[in-house]
Formats: sequence, structure tokens, C-alpha cells
Amino acid sequence: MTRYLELVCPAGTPAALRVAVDAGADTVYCGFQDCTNARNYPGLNFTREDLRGGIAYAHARSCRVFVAVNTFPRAGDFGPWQRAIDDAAACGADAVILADLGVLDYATCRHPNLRRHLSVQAAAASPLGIRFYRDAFGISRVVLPRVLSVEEVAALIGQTGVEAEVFTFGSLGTMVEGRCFLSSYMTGRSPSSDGVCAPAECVSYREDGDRLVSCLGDVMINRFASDEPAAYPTPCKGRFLVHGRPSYLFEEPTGLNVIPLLAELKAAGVTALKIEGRQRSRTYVATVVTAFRRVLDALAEGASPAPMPDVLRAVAEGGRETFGAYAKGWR
Amino acid sequence: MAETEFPVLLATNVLGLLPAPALTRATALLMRRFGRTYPRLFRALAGHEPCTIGIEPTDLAHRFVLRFGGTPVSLVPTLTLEQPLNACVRGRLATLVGLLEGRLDSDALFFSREIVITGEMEAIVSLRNALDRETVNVFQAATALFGPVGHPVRRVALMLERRLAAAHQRLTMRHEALHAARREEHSIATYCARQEAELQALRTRIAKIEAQTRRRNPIGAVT
Amino acid sequence: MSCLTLGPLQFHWPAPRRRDFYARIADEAPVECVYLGEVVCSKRLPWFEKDLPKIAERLRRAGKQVVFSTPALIITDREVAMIRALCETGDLIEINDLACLQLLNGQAFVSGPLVNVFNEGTLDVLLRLGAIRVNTPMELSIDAIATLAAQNQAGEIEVFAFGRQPLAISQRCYHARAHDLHKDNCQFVCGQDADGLAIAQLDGRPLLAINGTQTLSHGHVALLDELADLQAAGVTHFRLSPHALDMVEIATLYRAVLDGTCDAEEGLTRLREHTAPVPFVNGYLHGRAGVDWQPGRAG
Repeated sequence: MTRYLELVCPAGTPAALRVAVDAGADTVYCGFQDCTNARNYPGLNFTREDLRGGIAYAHARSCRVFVAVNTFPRAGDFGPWQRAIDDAAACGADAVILADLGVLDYATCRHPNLRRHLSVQAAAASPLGIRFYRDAFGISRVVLPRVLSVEEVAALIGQTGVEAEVFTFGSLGTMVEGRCFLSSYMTGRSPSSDGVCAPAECVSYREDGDRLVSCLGDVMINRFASDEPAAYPTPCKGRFLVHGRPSYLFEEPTGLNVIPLLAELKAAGVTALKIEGRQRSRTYVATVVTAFRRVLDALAEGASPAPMPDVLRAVAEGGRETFGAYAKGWR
Repeated sequence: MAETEFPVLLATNVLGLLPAPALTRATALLMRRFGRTYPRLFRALAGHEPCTIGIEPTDLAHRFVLRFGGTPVSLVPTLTLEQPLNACVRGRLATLVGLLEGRLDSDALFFSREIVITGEMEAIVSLRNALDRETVNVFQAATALFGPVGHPVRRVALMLERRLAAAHQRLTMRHEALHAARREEHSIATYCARQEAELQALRTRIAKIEAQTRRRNPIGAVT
Repeated sequence: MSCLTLGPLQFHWPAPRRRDFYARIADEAPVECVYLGEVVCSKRLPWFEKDLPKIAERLRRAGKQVVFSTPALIITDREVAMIRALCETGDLIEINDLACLQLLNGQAFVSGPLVNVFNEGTLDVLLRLGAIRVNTPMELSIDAIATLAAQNQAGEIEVFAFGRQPLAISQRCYHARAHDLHKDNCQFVCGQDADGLAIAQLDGRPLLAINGTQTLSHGHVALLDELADLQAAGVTHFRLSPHALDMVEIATLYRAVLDGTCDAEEGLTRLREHTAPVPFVNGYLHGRAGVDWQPGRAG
């Protein structure tokens, strides 16, 4: 049962799904074990059997399951995406999360009764864009890009009449998602089509004296002093030389946490809160979902301001938190 | 302390005392036990590309080499990690066991540098994700090796762990007490230095104000 | 016959420089089509907006097709008003954000390189909605392009053939950030770098270039060796992206290679005289990392 705002939680494995459901998720989202979703990491994700079991477990506890089929099929290879949609429908998924026009078109024609959500990978960031997807493909919900301020979120919802789901915790891309080619430029594997940014097989770390060097393919992404928190070699969170000076040009390695803005987001008309991190451990899922469940329950009972659980900082990317684009001045 | 929680202090002490051949035999037995208890985990690892991972507990003299993919999963103790490795994980024994059991978040430990990972990430990510699907319990598997006396062994181990923990705590407290005086001195010195700096800043400010006033009243009205 | 196009100017050049640039293009460049307009940052448009009708008219008089490009990201009211005004002129426009489709109502359009057209299903949707020419995204390999072109035999397919590749777009302005400024008070520092600001790895090797909210490759895409294969695959248009280089000379070079009066090897040698020390890249086209350079038959 959704209280205050719907809490949409990540699951990279069936174990994480059970943990999320038990910790109080209203909804869990997951993907299949292939390039049809944007977290295509080795050893992660669900087989068809895993999904059927996961949905049964969640539904028995009044929790919904969304399936992300949110990458862009490669030319001449539409099969995996068709099967992903067909199987998500057959397994009883409550919605599919889609980004590609072709995939949206297929789902709309073949499974008109399967709820369609627009993925953040579609990067629909204006009322016009969202209305286009609503009118053309009957989407019921849009996952908003992580580049909007709270005021912009409110304006969007007012002008589209489509449910909005916003990111509230987890990794934060600074580029418009679904349209960022930095990782494929360095590795040849595409976040858009292969479903993987900074793929594990291209990531390496080495020690250089007392410093830790992180590389993506042949590209040096960062170098950490021994007393600095480490971070993944995600291209948009790398340290580069600008005017000869090392700097986090795009974004520091930080994780999004907008707990203090939850009341504002609710007032803006947001329907659901999304937690990022299907690639993270089940301990991460348990920690974050439990903390958010408590905060949302407190808010539902009239608490103000929202309590800020400090357990979240440790699991935030780079061990640091940010409001991201929701805050003024981020741009 | 929970019945199934891994007794880290005991393990650190015991493993430190074990001669190499005995440790080799014990880890081999433990891996066989794991294979029987977690067949799905072992199947997932067997399907991987052949891969060698070095494991370096920073509070033990022993190092371990984990091999999976192609061959049966093996964990072999060694004194040095000189062979070619795909990747290496370094951290305290308690942390490494916590990771193995999925109780700790590997990313958070990586960010905070409590574990250091070097080399290729593909193998590490595959291993982490395979482990995250299971609920591995190292202590239970280890004590199960004792067969019918497994349960008493577990009880004795936990009792020893509690005693070690208490001894450890006493030691820490004495250590604290010994160093407290020195720290105090240190903090007074810091305090004095700060006061000194503040005083200097105030002096500079007053001098500036005097200079400004003098410029405004060149006749010399400052008294 | 294959057409050469001149893509929209991605960088923030002063208005007089733009006027001179397009005057010379109109008079001398062997391109069939010129894209005009601001793709990266709508704040730049007021600086040169009033010149656009004159520039367009001059290009048309020189026999060139003019297409108006629209922003990569449409979020603010200003950006919505901008594309609404453009859609109402009836001129051919290039869309770079699907939001434009809501205003076009079946009117013919060009789908720009920043629209994700990765497969036949997407291509079908765009053709149904009125696309007459479709640019392929930067990431596509020659095989993927051929598959799409086969699906669009009646229409036109355009490929990015020269210049720094646009790789990402953001709401955040990196040029402002590089100068410790905020986007709202950016002082148009992006205008200081006519070809973008080079970004290097910590060990000093150049990697990317930034241009306001856009991130580009440091290397220039240089598809000369691949032109024949792309033509055979069904590509009809080749896009040259404007840089602070002799674009008339570069267009002439591409034209010569397309017409077979200059071979690709010589073309690359002559192109390098214009672009050095910035390296060439073509990895995406060969199914590799975009940053790679795969010397082809021409070496």
C-alpha cells in the first residue's frame, strides 16, 4: 500500500528483490540478464524463472514489480527486446519501463493493456516531449531526467497530466541519459544499446605508489590520494585536466540524496520516488529502502522536516551526497 | 553475539598459528563444504572465464588465491601473491568475511578505502554478484566440518571469541589511558596556537583600522 | 549522387564571424545543404538570430538547401517558444529533441544526429511521423547504418563525416564550470574557444573537448576512406561539421573524394594538413571505441 509517495526500489538479483519487498518497497524494478536493460553487468539481473518467482513473492506482499526494457535495440537485432516485452507481460509485470521509439511502438501495438512507463533513458524533459510520448504511445508515467529543478518538475507535471517518478537516491549522471556516448567513446560498448556504462570488463584499478589509479579502457579516469574516497571510473565523474589543472569538470563522485526535498517534491505533484542502484549489493538495497521507508512513514504522519538518516552517506557514491540538479546553482 | 556470526578475533588468532599444510587442508575442506551447501553459487562461478583472484587479509600473515571458471573453485593459502592475478582484494579479515556473507556493501567499503581492489574488475563484479544471490555463512560451514560435534565446537568457539573480545577491549582501554595524557598536552598546544593566531589577526586588523583613520584624518586626530 | 551538407555551427562564434563564414560558404563551398541555428545552448541565439534570415536567403540564392536546426535539449519556456516559432515558419527543420514532434503535426522534417535512431523500429516511427531525412547517431557502425539505409530506400540517410563528434549534452554548463562561473551568469566564456576547449587525462593525453553544455570528441571524425562503402550502403548525405578551419577547402576535398577525382589516401593527407595536431577518429564506424582510429585501405 502506498503511503505518502510510492517508493520504487532497485533489485539486481532475486535476493535483492526479497530484501527490498521486506524492507518496505511499494514497487521493485528489475531487468532481464541481457542488453535489454541499462544495468547489464556480469552476474546481475533476472532469468525468466527468477522474474516469475520475484513477482509471486512481491505480489503476495502487495508490492508491484516493474521490468526495465530501457535500452535501444541495435539495427537488425530487435528479437531480444520483443521477447523481453512479451515475457515481462507473460510473467505478470505491473509495468514495463521503455525508452526506444521502436520498442514503445511494439509494446503499444502488441500489449496495449500492459502499463508503459517512459524510462529516464528517453530523456523527456519538457511538457512537449512528454505529451508526445503520451499521445503516441499512451504512457502512464514518466521517469524524469535527473537534470530538472523542483520548480521545473512541478511545471512539467502541471502541463502533462502524466504520473511523474523522480530519482531521489543513488548514482547521478550529469549528462542527459540515453544520449551520452562518453563511455562508448572510450570502450566501444554502448550504454544505449549494450546497457552498460563503464563496463566492468573495461575497468581496472592499479596502485601507483600510495595513490590509486582508475582506468576505463585506455583512458585514465582518476587518481586518488590515500586519504581520499575512491570512486568508479564513470566518465562523467572523472578528474581531467582543464586549462592544465586537475578538476572534476563534469561532476564530483557523489550520490544523489534528496530526503530534505521530499515534501517539496510531493507538493510539486510527484507520484513516485525512485532509488537508483540495481548494480549495488543487497545490503545497499536493505539500507536505503529501510531508511526511506522510515522517512516516508514519518512524513505521512506529519513529521517536519524529514528526518535525515545518516546511514545513507556511507553507501552513497564516493561517500558523498548531493541534491544534484534539484538545487539551484547546479547548472 | 549471534549464534552464526563469524568469530573474527578467534579466527585471526587460530589462522595465525596454523602451520601452512594444515591451513591448506582446512581451506580445501571448507571449499568442498561450500560446494555442497551452495551448488548454485559454484555453478555460476564455474561458468565464468578462468580467473585467479588474490585475497590479502591485512591482519593475517597468510594470503589466499581464489580460482574459478573452467576448473573447480579452489581457495589456496600462500605466503606471497607473486603469481599472475586477474585482480586482488585487500582488507581486514572481518571485512572480507562480511563481504563473502553479503552483510557488507562492497561499493561503500571501496569508496571508503576499507577494501582496496586492483586489477580487472570483470571477475570481481561477477564474483560479487554471484555471492549476492546467496546467503553464505562461513562460520556455519566451518563448524559443520566437525560433523556431529559441530554444534559444541560452535559454542566453544563463540565463548572463546567473547573472552578474546573482552581481553581486546581491556587492552584498548589501557592503551587509551596511556595515551590520553599526551593527547591532552597536544590539544592544549593546539588551543594556544589558535589563540595566538587569533590575537595576531586582531592586531593586524587594528593596525589596518588605525592606518585608515590616519589616512582620513591626516592632521593626526588619532589619540 | 551523394550530397555534402554543412552541419549547424556547434560553437559560439561572434556574429560578424558567422556572417563572413556563411557568406564564403554560400559563394565557394561545394555543399548542397546548410543547417543553420543553435543546437547547443539557447542563450546564444539572441547574439545572431537577426542575421539568420539574411544568411538563409544568401545560401538559397547560391542554390543551397537551408534547414533550420533545433536545440539538442528542450526544457525551458524559451526553448519551447523558439521551436514553436520555427515550426510555424514552414521552413524545413532538423529536430534534435523529440519534443519537436509534438509541434510538427505531420510536417516534413529532418531527424538530426542527436536523435537516437538505433534500429528499424524507431526509423519506421520517424518516417511515419514525417521524417524525410534521417541522421544516424554517432555510435552506429557501418553495418548498422547499412541495415537502416536498407529500410529507408525511398528516403535519405545522412552520416556525420567530419569534425569533432558530439558525445553528450547536459543541463550543466561545463565551460562556465571550467571558469568557476554559473550557467546563469556564464559571461559567454564558451565564445573564447572557437573549436571547443580541449580536456586532457591526468597524464596529459588529450581526450575530449567541451563546448558549453556539450561534450565532444577531441579527435576529428574523418570519414574519407569509408565514403565509398557508405555510399554503397545507401547513405545519401555526408555532414561536415563547421570548425575554425578552412571549411571551403575541406568541403572541396570531400567533394573530390566523393567524385573520385582524389583518392581517399591523398584526401586524408591533405585533410591532416588542416587538422593537425588534433588526431583523427573513426572507431564507431568500425564497431570499436569511438576514440580509435582505424586506418583503412588508404592507410
